[in-house]
Amino acid sequence: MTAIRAQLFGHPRGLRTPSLLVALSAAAALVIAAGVWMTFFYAPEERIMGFVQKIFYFHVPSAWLMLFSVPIMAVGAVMYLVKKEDRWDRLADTAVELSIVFGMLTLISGPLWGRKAWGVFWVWDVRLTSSLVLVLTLVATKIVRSYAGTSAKQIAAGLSILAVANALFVWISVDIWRGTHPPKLVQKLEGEMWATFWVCVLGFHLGYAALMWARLRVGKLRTALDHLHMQAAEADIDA
Amino acid sequence: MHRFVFALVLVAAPAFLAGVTHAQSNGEAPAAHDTPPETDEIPPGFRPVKGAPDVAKIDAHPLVVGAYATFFLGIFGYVVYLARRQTEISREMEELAAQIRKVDRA
Repeated sequence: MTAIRAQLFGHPRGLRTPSLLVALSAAAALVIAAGVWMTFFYAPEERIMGFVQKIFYFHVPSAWLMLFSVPIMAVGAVMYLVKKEDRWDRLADTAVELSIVFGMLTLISGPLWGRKAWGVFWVWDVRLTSSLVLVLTLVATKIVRSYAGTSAKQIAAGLSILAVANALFVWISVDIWRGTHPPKLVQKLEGEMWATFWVCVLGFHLGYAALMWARLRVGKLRTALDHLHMQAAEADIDA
Repeated sequence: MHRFVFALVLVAAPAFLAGVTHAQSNGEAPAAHDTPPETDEIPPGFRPVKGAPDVAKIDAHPLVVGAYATFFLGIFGYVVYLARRQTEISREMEELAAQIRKVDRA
């Protein structure tokens, strides 16, 4: 079986998870756990918003990662359109998925905070609306991959590039228009709040790196297995 | 290429973000550390929507618990999704390997 696994995947260990990935995941979990502890037992309650402000320490890193995924996705999309190599498409697909995951976390945590701050779960504020449009665009990109036939990857790549403009709009909207969503407050943090926030950011980035590695790995294994199925079918082996 | 992406995520992004926020810092004092007093003062950027319930009467604790539960369930759910995809690949690999062995024996 080891010989067959090596033949199939070029490595005798096959599907075993790399130990560095396990270590990275463990580090992310530890730092995030530290961030949660600091959020509730170290960082003080905000003077005006009170306890609900604790959502800030996870909401903002989630939003940053949602936006951070977009240029990665765009690089993968452009490189795929230029070079037509599967690895760039896998990078774009991975970044889309992660952006959707962190985007959903942002769009759920934000309204929970808004319920206390504004009295309602949702307002059609420019930042909230543009974030929702961004996530819907990314979901459309995933749907297109599954149902758009032979040109699916090219169409998905095009949508990914469109999402970059949307993401830029989300980032700058709160600076240009004075809407309901508060302006950027990170630069005003100091002391325990500052430390707690950046520990959470670090934990989220470590977790993001681990998830990206794991997802890219799954994509690579899937592509390799699909090619092997094709070869086996040509050799009349695959039933 | 993958190593470059991971290095960027791990090192450059948080460092860049910290640098940007430090550069934008205007040295204003942080919020006080005291328990929030009962006040009608509206925080900057937060304006209650007209017709909405009185926000002072809304309990924040279930909202915070709900938000953090969402984070952990969301991330855990995605990890489970990746694990199931990998299990599927492993199963297909075993099936393909079995077919190759069958042909080899024949």
